[in-house]
Amino acid sequence: MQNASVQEWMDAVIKPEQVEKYMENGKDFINDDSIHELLRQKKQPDKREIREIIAKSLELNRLEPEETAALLNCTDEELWQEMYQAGLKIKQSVYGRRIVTFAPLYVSNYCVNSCVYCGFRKENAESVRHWLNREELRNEIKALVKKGHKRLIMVYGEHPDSDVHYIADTLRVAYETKVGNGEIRRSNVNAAPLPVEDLKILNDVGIGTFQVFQETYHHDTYKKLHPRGIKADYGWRLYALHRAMEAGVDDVGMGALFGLYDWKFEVMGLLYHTIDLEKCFDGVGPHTISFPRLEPAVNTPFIEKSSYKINDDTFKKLVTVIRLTVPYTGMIITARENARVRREVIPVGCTQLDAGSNIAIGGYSKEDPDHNRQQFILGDNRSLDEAIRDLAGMGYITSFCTAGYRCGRTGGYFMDIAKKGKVHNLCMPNAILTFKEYLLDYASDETREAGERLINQEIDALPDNQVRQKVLGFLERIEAGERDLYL
Amino acid sequence: MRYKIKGLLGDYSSNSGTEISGTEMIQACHRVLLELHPELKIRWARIYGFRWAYLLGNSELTSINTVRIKLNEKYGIFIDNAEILSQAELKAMTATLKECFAHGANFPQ
Repeated sequence: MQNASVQEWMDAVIKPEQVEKYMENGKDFINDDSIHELLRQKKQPDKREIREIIAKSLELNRLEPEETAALLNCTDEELWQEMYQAGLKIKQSVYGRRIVTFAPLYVSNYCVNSCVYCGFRKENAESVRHWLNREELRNEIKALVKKGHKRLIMVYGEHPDSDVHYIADTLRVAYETKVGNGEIRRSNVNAAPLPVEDLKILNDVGIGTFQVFQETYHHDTYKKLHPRGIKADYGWRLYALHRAMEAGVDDVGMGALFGLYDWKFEVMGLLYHTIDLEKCFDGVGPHTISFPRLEPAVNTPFIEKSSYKINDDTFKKLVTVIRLTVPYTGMIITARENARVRREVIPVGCTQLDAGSNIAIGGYSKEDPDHNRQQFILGDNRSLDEAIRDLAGMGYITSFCTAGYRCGRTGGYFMDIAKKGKVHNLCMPNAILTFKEYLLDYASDETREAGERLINQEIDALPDNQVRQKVLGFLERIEAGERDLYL
Repeated sequence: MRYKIKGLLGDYSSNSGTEISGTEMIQACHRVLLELHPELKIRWARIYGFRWAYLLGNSELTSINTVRIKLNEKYGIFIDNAEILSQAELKAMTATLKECFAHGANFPQ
């Protein structure tokens, strides 16, 4: 596409009225000054206050901003240990001992934006650009399905060549591509903010979760780091998930990129974002929250210079605070983090991760680790099978379950059962069933052995005998060759 | 039930003078089904390929015996406690709903 028409396309993307309608008196819901003030006010929380807040989280109540600010400012290591324990308890009571697993699939990396921390920024001449055509995409999907994946997050740069019609078409390809027993059953999308009418198009083709990360909630920092392009408009991005909900995409995923600004501020931003979604959409907040950290990228010196990068200990703390703040929301830890960090942080509250990931465009079918085709460098390069075996060793069932989204357990209904701590009643049995499929169809002998042991333990631990009998019946049918059985 | 649902459909069509919306149809059917079987736990969904997105209905129960019925290309219903109906009742209900929704297969959203 020629530059003139790219500019024309860019000029038409943002619909100011679809932002303004959600603002109050022309202001968005992130008030930088009051977040800083709240963090100052709660600088020295006492033990009793922290313990009361932990107790509130354990009852699966969302925290208020002053409560989250108090947790963020805690400096008492003994209390942090209590918070880690609480994170684990909440995770077990809402989600059970299972981890939902997916693969990221980078589909296009052409981009009109200039985010200074991103390897795909328009000005980065060292980044090799490509968008997958249908045949290439089919090959990528086949490669993923052959490894055992059932869930994807498909990732796109912001560019007229990867507009909504392209995204919709790639979703169709993802759903129609089958290999033997395998298929993709849920395709989530991480893309640029879209107008309501475009989001309706994605809804019609069966999008899973629509994910847009604000990157940083701090207005001035946002402005500095996104100097040009559509992404320079803070409000357009901030209300992307509101528009998705308005369009009927009732599972949305938010996130912040940690390392761009003060981590405590960003956690507060995620909370205010959650509160505003819940306010506007009848109590329905984000389906998932992500908390990626800045990672090195080709020809992107900003990353080395950023003074807001956080160490592993702080990372664990922020994940814990998010877990306690929104006890009923899914939390995603990605393969940006290395295996050691993931092992350390999963227990404090993570519910989803990616594994066997390759973030080069066209990387799965070529087994290509070409860094010049990647947005950043991955920390965990283990295969799906290795990661699953490791998780089994930690006592976690890997779930490829997509039943909720096919059984109307979306949006308000999902949020309702999640808030009541009832998700695992169905999700653990479904996790066992999809794990069994994986073990039979794709696992190495070693992983199969570890997995079977875990399945037996989890069947014994199912609290309801009727459910147990039903699962046992389904497992027999899966052994006999049936697939895609779920509750 | 068959006549009640179909009657409602007729009312909506004649009152609005246009094709009735899927949402109105679902709300009407939901009311009628609960009038007939107050204990029934039902959920309605809009179908988008694999995705059955929640629209209306029961949000209390997480059943292991949910019956999922596709009514047309756009709409489906889940009955979380279909065991309270006899097989004949369930069959009749399904047939009637499918008939009604076939009539309105092209409801606007």
